[in-house]
Amino acid sequence: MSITREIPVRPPLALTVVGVLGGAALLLPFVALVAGVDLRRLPRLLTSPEALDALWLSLRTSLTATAVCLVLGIPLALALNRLDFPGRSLARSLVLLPLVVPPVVGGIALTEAFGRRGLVGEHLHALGIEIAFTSAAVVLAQVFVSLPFLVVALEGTLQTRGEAHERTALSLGASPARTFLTVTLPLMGPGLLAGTVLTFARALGEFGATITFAGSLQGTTRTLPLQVYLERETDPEAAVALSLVLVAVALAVITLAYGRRRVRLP
Amino acid sequence: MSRALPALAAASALALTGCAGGVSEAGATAGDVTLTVFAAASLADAFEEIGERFEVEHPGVEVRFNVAGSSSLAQQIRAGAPADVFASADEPTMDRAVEADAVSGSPRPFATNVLALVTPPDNPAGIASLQDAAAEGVDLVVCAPQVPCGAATATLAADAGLALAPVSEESSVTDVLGKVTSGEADAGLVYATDAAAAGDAVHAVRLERAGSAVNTYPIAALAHSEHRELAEAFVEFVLGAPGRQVLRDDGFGAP
Amino acid sequence: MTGLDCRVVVPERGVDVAFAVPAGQTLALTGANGTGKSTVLDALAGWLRPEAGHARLNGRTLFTAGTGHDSWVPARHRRVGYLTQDARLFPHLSAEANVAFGLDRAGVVGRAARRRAARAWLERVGVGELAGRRPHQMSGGQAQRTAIARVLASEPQLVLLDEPLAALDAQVVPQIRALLAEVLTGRTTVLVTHHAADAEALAHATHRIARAAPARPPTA
Repeated sequence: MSITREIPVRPPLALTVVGVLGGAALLLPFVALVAGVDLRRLPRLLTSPEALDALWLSLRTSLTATAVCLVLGIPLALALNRLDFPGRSLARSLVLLPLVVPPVVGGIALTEAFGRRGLVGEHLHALGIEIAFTSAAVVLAQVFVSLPFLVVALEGTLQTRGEAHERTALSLGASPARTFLTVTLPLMGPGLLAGTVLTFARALGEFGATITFAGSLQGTTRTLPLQVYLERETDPEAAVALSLVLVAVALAVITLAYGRRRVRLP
Repeated sequence: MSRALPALAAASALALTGCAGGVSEAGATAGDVTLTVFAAASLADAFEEIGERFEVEHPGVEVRFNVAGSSSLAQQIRAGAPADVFASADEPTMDRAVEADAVSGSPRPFATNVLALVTPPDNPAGIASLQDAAAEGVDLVVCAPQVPCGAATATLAADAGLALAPVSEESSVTDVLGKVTSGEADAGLVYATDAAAAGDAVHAVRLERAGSAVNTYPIAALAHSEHRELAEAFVEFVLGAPGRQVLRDDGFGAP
Repeated sequence: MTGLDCRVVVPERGVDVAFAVPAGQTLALTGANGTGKSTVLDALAGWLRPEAGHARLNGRTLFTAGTGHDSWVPARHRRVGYLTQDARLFPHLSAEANVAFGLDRAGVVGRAARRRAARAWLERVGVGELAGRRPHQMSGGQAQRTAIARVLASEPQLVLLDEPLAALDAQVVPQIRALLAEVLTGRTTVLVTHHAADAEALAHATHRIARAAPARPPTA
């Protein structure tokens, strides 16, 4: 078997140098983070009751938020991609709003909506349902900031896949529900996986909206990022160690979402 | 574009000729020296005012503030941030800067602050005392013990023999205040100065033994300041009559 | 009357075509590119709503449009099978599962029965041994054979073929053409093709769409 190599079209050398600098700017802080950890203290820092509570809470809430995002996000992406309605392009842009708005603003908006005196929260309060200061508030904040990630990923997949297979299924007599379950959903596969993983990662990293809207109490609302922020006040080393956990999770997530892409393409 | 060009030319000509004399004059008042003061968040308003007065007495000096939580500031100073003066909200935090040999001389106390119990203006839970705020079913928000206002909260509760059961322990006074003004929480423990600054946005409840948890604010010129004398002068200014008056007006106590 | 009788008017594509296909016969629809052959098939399949016209299949109305009392039967209730030049097999399903997909409409109930029926169809189109393969493990000819089995297994009353041989390697074209000739016998079919050979081998009659008037933009 002979080895053929295509000649790549290389960017100018100067651009490559700048590009490498850009890469360094992205990676250097993480290298410093790893270098800043005292490995001998690491196990004890990571297994303190506060750290374990925060980690467990973060995992629970992020998984819940991801599940909620899937339930809401798949229909939303389908509606935005497949339904023809007036103002569709506006709606598609509005979905991105939580993605570009500073998280604090998101937190304030959530308070205005679901807070005790908020638009919806007022009525919930009257019914005896309290969201503020509960883990549900954390999940709500996480869903708010991470749902756009899922919708964007799914919409991209739907766009590239087109509707041909669904049309075929309908012509073969399948109901819309069956078409969705047996054709649309499986064909979303790779995009769904990447989107889900990114959604989880974003939920896990949520900070601004949570601290503004949900509060901060060990085991209830103080997720890992909030714990890092608080540890920073008194024990910067513990903060660095916990940060490392978040970086490790993020790294795993990115590998899962994008690492296998090269293998997948048919 | 073509119409803008002559205007631009005229403007630059003016800058080159007519205004040439004015530049050095303006330079003198705009500040040849910039003094950088790291101040605890609760000092923001008071120090802004003190800074303005200081600039009036010291022509050519511009005072700039970096306002944040004391712990963050101490960390930045230890990491070598270019600051001339550090004013902390409590002594342990200042001690950390001292341990790092970042302070010139020894820090001096210049103000005190006590805690205040605040509720939303309509006081929905009908809170009249710290006991009320500690009761079950009351959404009380406090500072986390890791930050100065949280340490003071712990002292206050211990003195009153109460076990507080907060629904949230925030990282800063601002976050506590925000949860109260938005009506999320029934009550919150903040600094008296924050309660005063919030005005009508909160209802302040008198704490009987507020004096049991007094935070003392220390100030110090920093060792690596490039304007050591000016930094010392600023510290004296804060400790002197003008500084004291501003601080008193804002609700701070005297050390 | 049985068979197909239709008129499809899509002004923005310059399409106004009317024809009839007697029951059990195949009509070849020919014409230059851009004359709207595929548009007609899309309208008959229920994938595109024409501005005016009608379609009746074995006495059932598929659609009427532009008459004031329009009606529209959605694609899944039409019993119209559509085979395109790319097989469009579901990539995540085996050949057998692809064929079984349309068996519901044919009234085949039960796992074992569906399996048997799907296998029988795959045998009939000559790919019985590929039942477990995924589409990406098949050649173009094998995929198109599977697609033919899938369309026919759903027991359509009308079969639409849009250039079914166009995407295939030249050497397999005669075999697939022969297969189509065999399995389409007795089925009401509309075949869109560029090739006289296809029309000759498969169709009883040919309807040539003339270059229509230039398309007018859609009215607001």
